[in-house]
Amino acid sequence: MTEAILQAQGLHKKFDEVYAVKGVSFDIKAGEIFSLLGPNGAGKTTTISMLSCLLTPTEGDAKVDGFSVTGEANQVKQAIGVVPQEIALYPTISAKENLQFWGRMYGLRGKHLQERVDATLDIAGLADRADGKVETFSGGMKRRINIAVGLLHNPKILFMDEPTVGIDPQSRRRILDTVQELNKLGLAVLNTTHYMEEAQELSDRIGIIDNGELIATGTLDELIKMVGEYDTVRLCLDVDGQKIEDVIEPLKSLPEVKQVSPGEDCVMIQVPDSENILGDMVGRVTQAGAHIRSLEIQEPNLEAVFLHLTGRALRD
Amino acid sequence: MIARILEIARLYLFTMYQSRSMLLFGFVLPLLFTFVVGQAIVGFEPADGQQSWSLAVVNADVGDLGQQLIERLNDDPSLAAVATEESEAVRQVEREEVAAALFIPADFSSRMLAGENLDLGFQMNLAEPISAQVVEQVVLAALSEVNSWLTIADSAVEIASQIGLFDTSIGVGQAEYFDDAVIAGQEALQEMPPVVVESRQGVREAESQGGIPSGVGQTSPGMLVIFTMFTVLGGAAGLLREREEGTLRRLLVMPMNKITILAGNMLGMFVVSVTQTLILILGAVYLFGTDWGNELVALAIMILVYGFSITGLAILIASLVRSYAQLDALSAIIVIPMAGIGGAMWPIEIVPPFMQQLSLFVPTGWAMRGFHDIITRGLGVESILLEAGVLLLTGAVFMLIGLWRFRYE
Repeated sequence: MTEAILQAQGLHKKFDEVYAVKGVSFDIKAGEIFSLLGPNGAGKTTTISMLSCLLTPTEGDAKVDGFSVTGEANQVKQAIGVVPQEIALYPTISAKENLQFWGRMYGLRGKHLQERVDATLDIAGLADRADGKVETFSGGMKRRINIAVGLLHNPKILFMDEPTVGIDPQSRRRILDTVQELNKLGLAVLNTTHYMEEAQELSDRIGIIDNGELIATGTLDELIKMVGEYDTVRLCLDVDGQKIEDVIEPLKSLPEVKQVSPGEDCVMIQVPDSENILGDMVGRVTQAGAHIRSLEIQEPNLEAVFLHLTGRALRD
Repeated sequence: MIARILEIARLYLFTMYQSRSMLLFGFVLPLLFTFVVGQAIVGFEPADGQQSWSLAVVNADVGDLGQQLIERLNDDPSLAAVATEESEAVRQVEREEVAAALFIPADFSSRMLAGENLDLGFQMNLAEPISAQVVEQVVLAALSEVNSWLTIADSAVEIASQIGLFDTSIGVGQAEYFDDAVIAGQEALQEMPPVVVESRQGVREAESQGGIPSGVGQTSPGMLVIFTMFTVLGGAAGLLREREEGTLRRLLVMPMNKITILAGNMLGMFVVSVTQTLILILGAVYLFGTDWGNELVALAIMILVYGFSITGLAILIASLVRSYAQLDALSAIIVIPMAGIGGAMWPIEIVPPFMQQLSLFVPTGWAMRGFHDIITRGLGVESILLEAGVLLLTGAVFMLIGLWRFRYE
């Protein structure tokens, strides 16, 4: 059995009287990619901040590479690489100078530092732009240097907080490929995201977090099994707020419908065999006076899992 | 830890001096202001060979001593004593055309000769209290000299009387003898004053007036005090920007102590303030001929302790404000009043006494006192120890509170 590189036990974090994280426990094995999936404000960044020793847990503890985040911060920090959500770089100096500075902060010096700077520039695919000032880089290039900084000291586990937010699809693809390549070399990764597709594609295991609580963990298959064989039908309507409520009850009255979750102007309906009752559902909605703008049938996925567990759509 | 502190300081210096705005706001503007404002306030300074102060004199004396007093006053090259009517003298004081007015009474000569106490009228121009005080000292010195002539003559007459000079048939009259003795006394005092007192509190004539700094002698230390404070506060604002942009948070996940981060930044701010001060002093010396005195050790101490003090102040302020934008906006509100109160914008000697007292509560006030001790008064290390001590102490207190209160996230 592979040894866990990270073990979080009952992590709580309270700000004033509000719990941002409530009893989060999970572990990550060496060489594993683990994603924390949840909407904005779910507690992902607070969790990663506690694991990075930036925040002290109100309760609970975590061990990284055998060291406690509450009592052995320097050893933990030496074992982790952190890629923050924001571009935490000095824009007026070059990519190489940035990496050299951050490398020195990790205690690297001389030839070893230079080797690591060159290696991480290669990983980022920016060796040819090493002397360019960061402020002249595109958003995707900045993100890649942002990741490279987290790899400088050869960490045992990389924490990535929403690494692909706000970048173009091509740069996102490149970053995901890079993470997978690093993982193949044995690097464990803790990735937080609110992109279902990213978690689905990248992760060995996924933890679903909502309102500060980790509500499910497992592989993609294990999580989807929680939903069963249900399809998710997404009906978007041309109605005002009053009328979308009017279609809920007629839909719920259909015996095959397992769950109906209203969104702003769309309704998510979970049914075992969507094709057989599609006509009935359309009829009920039309009878309620609503006009269907679009209809989408989704195979079981993480969106359906989240909906199943929380009663809300992840994208809402 | 030391290596990381030095590395953070090195990055701070690199990014600071990389910026073109540092060249403009750190060096060009202060030197420009030193020159331009220095020319504007050069009016404090007497032109070579001209009198510094005017004194209106109303001479009602029926004897000769009143006129002799006026002549004696005009022997002082820094004073122009002009005889005038009483109403005109009062008007000139009220209109601030003269530093003071002196009223010599009708019985001045007779009472002086009789050795009686007498009161001279002296009206000060309250708008120029320092100048009026200097003029008053000159008048007292002149009176003392006139009194010395009379004392010499009295003594001579008394001795002549004792040896019976006036009893013989030589025909020497006592009154004539007294007049001759007065003239002899005047000549003797002019040629060989009995006691010479050389005051070390004296004035460096080139850039001050009666101890009041003027011209570039005022603006050179003043502008460097103002602009180095702006620069260092800008550095503190940069630290807050790092907090907002995430680099500070990233530093916090590095394997090192939090204090290392602030220590590195403070070292950077301190070095920037010292180098900026040195460059501004050299610029003023070589571009405008500003006399920064000869007390290099005292000057070095003042530069270091002022840099330390404003670095502490910057960290304290950074710990109290919420954001980079807030500190950026507050910089001028903090620096300009502090500069005014401390005497960096105008000589502290020309403001009312309560304002002079107020200057003791701001580091700029102590810095300007120290710099003027060196520049204007030509004093050395011993004279700036109090100023240096106060700046060192306040800097340390500011720094400790700042380190304790600073929010890293």
